[in-house]
Amino acid sequence: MTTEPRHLRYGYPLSEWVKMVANELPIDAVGMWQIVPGGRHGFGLEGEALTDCVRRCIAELLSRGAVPVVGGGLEGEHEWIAQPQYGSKPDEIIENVVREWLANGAKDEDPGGLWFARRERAWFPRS
Amino acid sequence: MSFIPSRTQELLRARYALDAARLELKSLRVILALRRFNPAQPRVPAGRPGGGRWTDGGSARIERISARRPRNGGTRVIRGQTYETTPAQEVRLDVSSARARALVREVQRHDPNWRPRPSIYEGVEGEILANESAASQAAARLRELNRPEPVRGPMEEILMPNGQHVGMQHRSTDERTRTVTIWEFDNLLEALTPGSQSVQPPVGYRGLWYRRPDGTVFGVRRSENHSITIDVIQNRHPDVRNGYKVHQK
Repeated sequence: MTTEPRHLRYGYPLSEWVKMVANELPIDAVGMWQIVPGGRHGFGLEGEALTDCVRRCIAELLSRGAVPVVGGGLEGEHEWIAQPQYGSKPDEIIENVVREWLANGAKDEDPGGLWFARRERAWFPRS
Repeated sequence: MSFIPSRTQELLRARYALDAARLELKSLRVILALRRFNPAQPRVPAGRPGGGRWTDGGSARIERISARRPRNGGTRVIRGQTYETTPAQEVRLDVSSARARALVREVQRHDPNWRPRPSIYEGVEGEILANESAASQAAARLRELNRPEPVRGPMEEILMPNGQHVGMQHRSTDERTRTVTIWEFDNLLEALTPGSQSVQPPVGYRGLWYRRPDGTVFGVRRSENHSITIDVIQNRHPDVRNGYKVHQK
C-alpha cells in the first residue's frame, strides 16, 4: 500500500500536484519560489521528502520542454534567460539545481531566483 | 465705398453668420462638457481602448489593449494616441492608476464634491505622473479629513473573499494559479495598492514589488504571453502563500 503524501487542504496526491505545477507552463514560467513552498506548506514536507518533491517537479517541467531560466529584469531585452550551466540532460539539471538549492539552505526561494520556462520563450546567451 | 458687388457681400455676410453660428455651437458644447465634467468620474483606464473616456464604472470600462510588440514591451493607447511601453511602464501605469482610483473614491465617500485638479499631460510618463498626482492630492485630502488611506485587510481577504479564491483555477493548474478578468484584476490592484510602498525587487524580476502596511509583499509583473500578473511574494496564510499567482485573462 502506498503512502503517497496528500495535499493538506485539498487532498489530492503529490503525483497529481506535480503534474498540476507543470500545467502552468503554457501560460507562464514556473519558479522554484512556487515549487518549494507548495511542497513544504501544501503537503507538509521537509527534509528528504521535500527534496524528492522538488526533484519530481523539476523532472516533470523538463519533460514538458522547460529549461532553467532566470528573469531578464524589468527593463531587460529578454523576458527569460536560459541557464545552461546546470547542464543539458534532465538528470544533470535536476541534480545541479537541487544541489544548489540545498546548499543555499533549502529555503522557500523568491521570484528573483530560478524558474523553468518553455524553451521557445527563453533566450540562450551565446557561449 | 465698396467695390464688392452687393450679391457677393450678401454671400460673405451669410458665410460669416454661418461661421459665427458654428463657433457659438462649439462654445456651447464646450460649456456643456465643462458643466458635466467630473474628473473623479470613473474613466476607462489609460492604455485600454477608449482610455480616458468616461465610464459608469461597470464592466464596460474594461477591455485591454491592442496588439503587442513581439518582444519586450507592449503598446498602450493614451488619450487616443498609441504609445510603445516598456514592461516597467505597463506595471507603473496599472498600479498608479489603480491607486489613484482607490484613493479618489475614498475621499469622495467623505467629501463627495472633491476632485483632483485636472492634469494636462501627454504620453506614458505623463499619464503615470498624472495618476500619481491624483493619488497624492487624494492622500493629502484624506489627511485633512483625518481619514486613513483605504487599506484593506490581509491579502487573503482580498484574494480569497468569503473564503473563495478569486477568478478561476487556470485549466488544470493547482488552486494557487488563478485567472481573473481585466475588471477583476483592476479591482484587486485597487484593493492591494493603497498604503503600499514600492520595494526593490530582485534583479531578474520583470516587474515591481510592493510592501503592504501589514508587511506582506506582492509583485506585479508583465509577462510576454500573459499580459500582467500579481505574484504573492510574502504572505503566511496557508491558502494564499508565497507562490500564489493571479494572471489577468
